[in-house]
Amino acid sequence: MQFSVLASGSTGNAIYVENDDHTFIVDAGLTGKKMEQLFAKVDRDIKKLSGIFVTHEHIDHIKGVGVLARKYHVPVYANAKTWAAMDDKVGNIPLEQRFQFDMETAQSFGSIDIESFAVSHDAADPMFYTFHENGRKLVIITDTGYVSDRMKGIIKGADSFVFESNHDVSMLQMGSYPWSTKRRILSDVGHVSNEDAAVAMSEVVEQKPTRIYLSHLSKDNNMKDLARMSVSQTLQSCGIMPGEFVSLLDTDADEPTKMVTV
Amino acid sequence: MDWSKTKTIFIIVFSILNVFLYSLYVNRYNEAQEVEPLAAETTIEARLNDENITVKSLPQKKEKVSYISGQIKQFNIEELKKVYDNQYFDTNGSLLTSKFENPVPLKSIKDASSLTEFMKKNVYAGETYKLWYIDEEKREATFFQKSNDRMIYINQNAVVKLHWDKDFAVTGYKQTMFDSLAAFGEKSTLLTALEAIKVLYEKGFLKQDSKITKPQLGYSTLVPLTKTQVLAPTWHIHVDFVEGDEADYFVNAVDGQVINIHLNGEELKDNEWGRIRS
Repeated sequence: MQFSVLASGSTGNAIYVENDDHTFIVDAGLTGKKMEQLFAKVDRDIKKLSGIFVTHEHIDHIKGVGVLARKYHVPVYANAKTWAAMDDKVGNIPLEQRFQFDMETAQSFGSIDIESFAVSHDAADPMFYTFHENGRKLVIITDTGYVSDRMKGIIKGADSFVFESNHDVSMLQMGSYPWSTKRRILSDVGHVSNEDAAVAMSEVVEQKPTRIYLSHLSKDNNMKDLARMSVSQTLQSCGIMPGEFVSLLDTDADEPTKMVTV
Repeated sequence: MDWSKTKTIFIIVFSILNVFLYSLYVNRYNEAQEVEPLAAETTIEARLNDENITVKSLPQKKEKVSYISGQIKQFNIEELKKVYDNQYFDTNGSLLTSKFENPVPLKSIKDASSLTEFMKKNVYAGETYKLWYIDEEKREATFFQKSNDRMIYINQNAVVKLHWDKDFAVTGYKQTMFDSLAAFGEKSTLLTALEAIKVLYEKGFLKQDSKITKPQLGYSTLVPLTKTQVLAPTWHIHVDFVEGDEADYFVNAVDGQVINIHLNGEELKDNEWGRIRS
């Protein structure tokens, strides 16, 4: 199983996952044209896409869903509440391409098992996914106000994490966002900060080579270097030395990460 | 009824009405053209001028500067003892306290160069600090650490405080310091000094007849991590008010936010670090 974070941030999110038989994306939060460009950058054929897994109905996660589904006849998977919430935003998707993927369930696609789990975010019924194949595990978890013990139990021990590290609390508090937006981001249904993400990571990584992609960084309230430094120092204070078995990696709003095997 | 005459009368009446309405339109259009522009559309220079707010030595350059980061220095007393044999040192790691066995006389506390010379000779990396304020009553001089020749403002991890006795001899000092100061992240195009002044003006910090002395670019804390801090380029703007008061304001030169500098989570009290009333 291989994957690449095609794009990550409030301007659009898409994560590509493939094995020998299937190619999936989790969310398509950029325009159809931009999605095609991102596929070209990782040297993959968008026509071979076998499914789009939608996490929630926010525009930075669904902007290109309708276009890709219609143009390339791709099946789309989401839970019932998310379907209802995004129906008028994604346009007409033929019934035979609409699939329901319930919260806290698993579905198999050849040798890949995909499991959904709930997160805490201000959307209709937000959920993220873990991918399992041959004992390897990829976790995608962004857009959550906090990481609950239940979430930790589900994501624990993955080989690769795409983990939200949204903002630095000081930057957010000192920045120019309206107070209502700041309060929303800091709330339990907002986004996790660098420090909170790192504390959660320290509880779910195991003593084995683990890649952590710091993702969904705020354009205004975070920086790649800062997220890496902050997460690194917090992990160290929790007794985990980044570089020993945990690698911290950047994601970008426009540039895909290198395609790697989980 | 003579329809031909009636038609002619209607044509004449409506023609006169049209001419009248057109003249009304032309008058209103001309009046609109003569309206003076709103005050909001005037330049900041003109608005400062109108309120008699003067600016001395305004830097004009639009600079591209990155954030910087630094690690909080942990002092090693044994190494310092080898270099400075006239001092007794004590430290909790990041705060160094020094007492002179024989107090060191200053040439003059009125002369900044005398203090600067003292710093170079008697304080570890003393040349990397710049004088911020002299409090003659408390017999105390406050220096802030520099990076790229720019001051790091009001930061408890980048300061030296000298103390002297009644004979103007330095008896000791306290020091904190950042190590490994380096550029952090990408460069940003900064607000000019005038744009920073505009921020203060629009937020109502500048009173009529006040005088702004040369705005200085430095750094202030953006992110305090446990071992490291990230510092943002910051405009320091000193204002003398007509009533005799003065104030120091700090404006983040990247995003234009007015910074309330805090120390250990508490707002600074007047004069705790010299002139601070922002």
